[in-house]
Amino acid sequence: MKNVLIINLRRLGDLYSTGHLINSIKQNDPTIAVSMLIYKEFENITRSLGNVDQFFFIDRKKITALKKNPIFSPALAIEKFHNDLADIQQINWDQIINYSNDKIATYLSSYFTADKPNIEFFGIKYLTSQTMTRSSDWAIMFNDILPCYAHTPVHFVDCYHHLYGAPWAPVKNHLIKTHPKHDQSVQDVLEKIKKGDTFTNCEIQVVGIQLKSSDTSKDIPAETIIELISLLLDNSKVFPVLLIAPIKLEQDLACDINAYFDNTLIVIESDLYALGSVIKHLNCIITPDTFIKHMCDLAETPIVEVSRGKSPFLKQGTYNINSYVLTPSLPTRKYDSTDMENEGRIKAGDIYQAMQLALKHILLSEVKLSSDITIYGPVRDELGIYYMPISGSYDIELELTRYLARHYIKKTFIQHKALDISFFKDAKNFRLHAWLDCEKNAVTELTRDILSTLKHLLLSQKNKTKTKDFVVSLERLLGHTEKHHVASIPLHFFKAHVDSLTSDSTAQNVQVVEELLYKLKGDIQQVLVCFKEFESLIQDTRSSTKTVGGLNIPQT
Amino acid sequence: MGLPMTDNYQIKTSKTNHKIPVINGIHLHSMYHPIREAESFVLNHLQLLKDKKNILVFGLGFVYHINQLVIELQKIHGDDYKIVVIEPNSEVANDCLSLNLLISDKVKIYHGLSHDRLYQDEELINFLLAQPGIIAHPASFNLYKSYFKNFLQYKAPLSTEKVLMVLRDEHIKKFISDRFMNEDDLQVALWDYSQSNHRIVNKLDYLFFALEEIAPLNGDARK
Repeated sequence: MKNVLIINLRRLGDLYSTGHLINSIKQNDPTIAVSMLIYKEFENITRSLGNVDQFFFIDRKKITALKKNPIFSPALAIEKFHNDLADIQQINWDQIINYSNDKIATYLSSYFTADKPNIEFFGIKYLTSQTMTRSSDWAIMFNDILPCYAHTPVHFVDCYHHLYGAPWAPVKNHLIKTHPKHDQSVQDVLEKIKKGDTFTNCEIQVVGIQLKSSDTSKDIPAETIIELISLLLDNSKVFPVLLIAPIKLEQDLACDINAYFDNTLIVIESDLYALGSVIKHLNCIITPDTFIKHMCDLAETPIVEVSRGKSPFLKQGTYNINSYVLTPSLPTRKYDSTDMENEGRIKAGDIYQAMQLALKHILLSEVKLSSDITIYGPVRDELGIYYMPISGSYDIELELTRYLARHYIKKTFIQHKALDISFFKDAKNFRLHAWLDCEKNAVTELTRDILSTLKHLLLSQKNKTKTKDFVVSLERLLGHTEKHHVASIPLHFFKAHVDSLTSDSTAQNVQVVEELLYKLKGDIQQVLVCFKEFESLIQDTRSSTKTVGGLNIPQT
Repeated sequence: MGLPMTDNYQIKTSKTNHKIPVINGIHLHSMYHPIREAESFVLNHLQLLKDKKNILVFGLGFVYHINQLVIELQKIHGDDYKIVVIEPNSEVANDCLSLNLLISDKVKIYHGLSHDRLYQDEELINFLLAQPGIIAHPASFNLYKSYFKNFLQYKAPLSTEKVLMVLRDEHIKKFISDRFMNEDDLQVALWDYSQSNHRIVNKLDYLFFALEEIAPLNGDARK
């Protein structure tokens, strides 16, 4: 039996999101025992997240209190931390996965594997030279590209599947554990609601509305929720319920909202364990970016994810192809809470229509969204989940950058060469050549700087006084990582490799950099090949006499 | 700081036939009606008892005030409460315990212990981390003011020597003594160590670096 440890020192949503990888691991090999190391403050998840054979905990709050409070000897924090990890040290692990890739997890990955070369490791860890090492280029993708690239081409969950090498497996039952008693209670209540309309004999669909997230920038404004509820109450096919945690802030918000409806709304207050039963029995949930979204994905309950502010939907959005993501159009999004006034405003009507789509009450062609709002639908391709704009306004060129960046990754990493241009071939007002020119210019500039760096590198090997020129040109080259062209992706890989040079020998490092520069040059050429493939396919399609179908959506 | 000295200790009997410890001439409870005195004392702390189910008490005496606290906490929190008592005078504590005056087993008494020793007790540490309410028995507190004030103002010694005395794991002790011998402030030394780019020679380095990330000195994360 293989023993696999997943280190995940992130918050609840990320912990639930791990459920997809665990599901794939277990379905591919049910004999594997999967354990997780998490912070003790999230211990409640043990009752809820299925498929995990054992949990280990770091009591971060206690360790911090012991370390920071001057009344306690430093010895106490040191020993507490050491003891929290003692049981993990006793187990013979076959594999360790650094899932969170934060500094603490990375140090702990090094700690657990330091004197155990037989452990197969996935993710990033530190070497004895204190440089970072990545188990594969997928670890670079996760650690270096996804946080920096504006419109992420790969989902976190997929990144981890590829990093570990687990073929994705569809979600099966029991990924969210529930108590039969809770299941029965929820079922009893919801059955009454669902059968409520005896006149039409039509089963009512119950829609949950999650009121709060952990960050106000992500929240659906209260006034929007109130408008949304009014729309839902006017629809005889659906019944809204409010979802809250047993926290005063959420209880108060629910009260305030309920007051608008003469306290007639049903408010479901549940802890983490009971929540599983609730979401399993709802037909759809409307939620901002919360851990509930990830729970719903594991329970296969479709959601409408309202993504705003800091919500990083492209890399961590809903993973369910029956869900939808509603977002201000990508050109307006900055993914931080300081620039939200420039984001498109998601209205109650937009959320309502997305919900109708999710419940298949309306067709896509009937959707009419506010300006600067887009609905994205997750689709599954060879790489994993990709978000396609299916309604509303979007920037075709931005979507093309996303799409071709993903195509480049597919070609490079999984040798998938087929290019599907169906989304773009009928796109109106698509300034293909202007876009191509811009991207090709980026490639030209990058190639110029690669060649300049190579030249100065070779000169510096012959003449040490030229080293400074090499450094300057290398810095200029790496400056291109600030931009978000398709060609930036291979550059990020290059940068990550340069950052992890491990040799103490300058000569050896120089040689490695030279090899990396040649590789980068080749990778950039592959980006150009992707452009050429796309351009050629589009031109073939446009010059063809065959009528083609396609989406007919107004562009920005 | 050493434990306070007792020059004179005797046990008297109150008008209500209750035993009253008298230390250095100071009566720790009322000689007239210690129970009524205790009731009144607890009433003054009612709000605190409602807010906090864990209470740290300075001064044991002969537990009349403790028993009243127990009664009140039981009314408010049922069985879910805990009282910890710090008492510097072991003689008083032992007499109290032998008289069997306590009415609850949810009272933990620490008596005759130095501050260093107290702050190394795991059970007490866990109790303090839960941020209990603090109540001082006035007579005891006034009698042992220095002891209790120093308890409140205690700062754990940070020298390598003192930290090594608290550590139990031999590997960690060796790691620290090999690298940080004779440091006056081990916390600062560990922080500086974590900021340096030296080669890792012992896997415990990773553990300490991780610890510095969890709770950095002065709140600054490692560069």
